[in-house]
Amino acid sequence: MAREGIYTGYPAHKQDTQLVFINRRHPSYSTLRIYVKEWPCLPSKPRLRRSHSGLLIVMSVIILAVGPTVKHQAPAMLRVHETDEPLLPTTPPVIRHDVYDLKVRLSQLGLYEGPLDEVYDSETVKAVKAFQESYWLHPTGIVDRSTWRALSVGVVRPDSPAAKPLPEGEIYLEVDTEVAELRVYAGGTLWKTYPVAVGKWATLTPVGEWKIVDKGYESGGAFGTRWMALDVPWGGYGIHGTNRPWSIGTYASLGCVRMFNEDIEELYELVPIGTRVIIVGYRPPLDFGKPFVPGTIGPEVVRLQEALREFGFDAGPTDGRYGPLTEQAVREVREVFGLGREGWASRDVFVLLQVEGQ
Amino acid sequence: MKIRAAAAVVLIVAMLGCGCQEHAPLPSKTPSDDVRILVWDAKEPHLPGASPYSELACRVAEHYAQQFGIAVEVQFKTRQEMESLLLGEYQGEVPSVVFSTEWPFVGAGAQDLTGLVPTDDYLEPAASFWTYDDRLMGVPSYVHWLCTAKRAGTDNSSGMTGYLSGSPGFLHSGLDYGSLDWTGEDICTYAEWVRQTYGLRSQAVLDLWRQNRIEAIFPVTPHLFKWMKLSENGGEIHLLPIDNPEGTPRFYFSVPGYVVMEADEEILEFAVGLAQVLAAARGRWAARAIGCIPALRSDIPLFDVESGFTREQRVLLMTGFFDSDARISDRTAHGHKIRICQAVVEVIEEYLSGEADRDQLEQGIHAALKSHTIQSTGEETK
Repeated sequence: MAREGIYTGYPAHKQDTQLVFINRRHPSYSTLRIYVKEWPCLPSKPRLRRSHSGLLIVMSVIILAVGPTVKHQAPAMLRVHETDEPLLPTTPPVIRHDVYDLKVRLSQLGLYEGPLDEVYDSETVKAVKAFQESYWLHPTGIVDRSTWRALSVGVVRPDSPAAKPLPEGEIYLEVDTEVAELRVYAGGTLWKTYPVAVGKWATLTPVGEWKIVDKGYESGGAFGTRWMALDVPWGGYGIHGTNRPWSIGTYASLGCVRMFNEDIEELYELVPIGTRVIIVGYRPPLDFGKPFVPGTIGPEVVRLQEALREFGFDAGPTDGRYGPLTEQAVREVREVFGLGREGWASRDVFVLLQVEGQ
Repeated sequence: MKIRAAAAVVLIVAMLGCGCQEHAPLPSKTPSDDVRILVWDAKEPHLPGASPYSELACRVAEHYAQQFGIAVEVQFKTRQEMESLLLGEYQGEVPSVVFSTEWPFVGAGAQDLTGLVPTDDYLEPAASFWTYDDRLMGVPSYVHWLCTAKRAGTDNSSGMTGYLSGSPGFLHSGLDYGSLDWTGEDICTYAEWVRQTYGLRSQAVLDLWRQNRIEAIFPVTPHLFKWMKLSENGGEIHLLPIDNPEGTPRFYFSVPGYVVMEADEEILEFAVGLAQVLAAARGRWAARAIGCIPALRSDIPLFDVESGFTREQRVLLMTGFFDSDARISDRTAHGHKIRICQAVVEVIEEYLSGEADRDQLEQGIHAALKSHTIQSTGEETK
């Protein structure tokens, strides 16, 4: 039996990658669990949107092949991630990360008074329709690019003080997630500060020392007009513009650093690929329950690297990768404290460095 | 008794004011223009009560360079890199001065410093430690020890002692002194004694210590002892000798120092002077930060005042060191022990964790040593 599917977005962050298809011939939903690399918050190359039709064909073939084994189980809601896809009113309602931003804006405009969550429910659809009517847009309840653009009208970017001449020397960026600020340092001194939006509590911006590894132009959608990818080894994170400028200064993103489009355009010209980006601030609960071996990646490794540095055994950049420098530093600590000569980090190493349980 | 009395005399004399005395005779000649000394030193953890060692070493080197108008470069290397250098396995630029770590040995390319370093300035056993074939082969820095650390006021029940069997110190402290040797039989005897005396091995000894589920740990390095004291928040910890199958508990001592590898006679004098200055600086750091005995007699007051040990503990360590007859090993013996440690550690851990019985331990150790012997023979014939 042929099944028609519509791809509705990215899978949930840090969960099994789950692509959701709406089956138009059935009242229920067909779900298919596919293991792929961590979802990218940033646009990947090629962008998923651009290969949309190809992906749909592949997915349709997979569904045809595994059709009988796919559970026809109606999930309560559909969870979708950062995307430029239009937000559609559905039954049951879709859960999408950008619905939170939408609700915040609608409530700022006095059109919505419900809970600020990620569920695109009927109340929100009603508010969107009312907004669209007031802006001479078709009151479809579909939040597309033109609706996002209209929602941004009236958001004022704070005046930034006139920038001093850029000092000579290394340029690096520091993002402080506690105060939602991006600071530009040049030649060892603070040159300029930009307001940003950073990750929500459930999707915190990754603390550590990263590098800009890619840059690109965008057309003004969810990623604004420019984006710069970071080399965070788990998931795709970066610094980009936004079509939801009212979120700047808040904890609103999926972990990326959002900036006003004007700001990211300025910064984009300033920082080349390879620029260091130090992110400090809130970090998620860390799990030191298992020993770490070379090759391990994750926020726990960042914490271990920080602790090694504080302890006097610099393991290089705190980049979340348990590479040769980290291995060497752990080996030194173990040797000096009589815990062996191996380069893997045992529970005793965590206890010694006081990183466990954080 | 004589030795104890001598140690006491040393302590008293030292406390009577040798502390401020300038010691090492430094180079007297004017350097030629292009004297450059490369130093390999080891990093140390940042510990309360002392400035970071790497900063201290750089300051000392900078001062020395300015004093004599020479260039000094300090590179911080891992302990394994230094071991590899002294074992003759390193292929790059050889430094003029290198730190020989907590497991010191007379390495490849070490210069004879007899007559260049005034051995009378050092504690006699520290200078003797570095004397090999009647030649002084390095500048002693401080006295490193291994002990058993135990919470004050707790019982001695075996189940309450954790041991770190993955550490090289585990075999060194058990086999280096007394009648046991590094043969397969003796290693088995020692491992069996440990299991019978202290029970099966625990996985995370420091975690158990922190949770008060064990009351003693061995072998404990000065660094670990400091950590244990800090983690106790002022609670008293006793410093005890490590027990052994012979029933003659003792501390394990070694004397880390600086080896001079500079072959150029023009530069040698400056390298020796720098080695002495660095050895003294590290010795003082070790006394302050981790409670080790400085090798320089004139620095003993630092140990007395800043080590954080009681008089009884200081006397215990000092007399233990004077009685220990610790001697530096040569490159062959050191390399042999390293390879044995690497070969048998897994087998011993299996036995001590209860995964293997005595027969399997014996078989495993003999197989490991046999393969090690074959490897060694292969290396020797190359």
